[in-house]
Amino acid sequence: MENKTLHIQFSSIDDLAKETKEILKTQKADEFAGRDIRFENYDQFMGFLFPNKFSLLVAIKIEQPQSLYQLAQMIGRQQSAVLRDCDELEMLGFIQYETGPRNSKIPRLPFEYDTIIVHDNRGIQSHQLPKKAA
Amino acid sequence: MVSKLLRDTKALLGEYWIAHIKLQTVTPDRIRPDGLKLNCVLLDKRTNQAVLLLDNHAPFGYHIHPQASTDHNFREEIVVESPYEAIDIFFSRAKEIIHGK
Repeated sequence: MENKTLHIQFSSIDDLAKETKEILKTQKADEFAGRDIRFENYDQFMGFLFPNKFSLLVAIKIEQPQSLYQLAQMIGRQQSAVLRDCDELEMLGFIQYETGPRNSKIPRLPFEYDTIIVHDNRGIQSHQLPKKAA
Repeated sequence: MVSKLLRDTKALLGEYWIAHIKLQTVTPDRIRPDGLKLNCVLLDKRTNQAVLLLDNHAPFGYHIHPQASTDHNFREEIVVESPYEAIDIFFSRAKEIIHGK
């Protein structure tokens, strides 16, 4: 169950430096290592992911497009805009690219997560990705 | 010693910057005698290019690639007594880039 969750947490650059040194000191692994994406605050996270990029994640998970062109067709957006958004999702680790025919990029989830959990100081908020169609 | 992933985190910083911090313990050897493998990267999301990179391996030890996007072979040796200092240097440089100094 746990490895089907992507975790969102909030930190400043100073927090990141401090935490990294703390982990180094204790040698205790970060609980969510490899499944953890940071934003500076909640508004930045919401502005980044919603609505367009979250729609892309849902389409990538459910429809498993074989190219960015196909993904753009599926959701009815321009390919250039889809490419830009997918590149940003890939840089932050929400998706990864597999290489397709003629070096095309096939967008995939880096692992089969179905929940994005946001750890906010107000509590935990969950964003569910729909299950794949049977 | 078995390799152990201690940290693997990506972070959006400001409008344009993404930091990727990866820290692992590894079996101490000639390449990494302190048994640590550290990779800190700052990416410009407008260009999808690394603009700053810190890593550690022989024969350079801890070092910075200050022109990571244009010349990966250009390294700047940093004189540090511990990985803590190397981490401080990376984040200090990253802040300068993010704040346009």
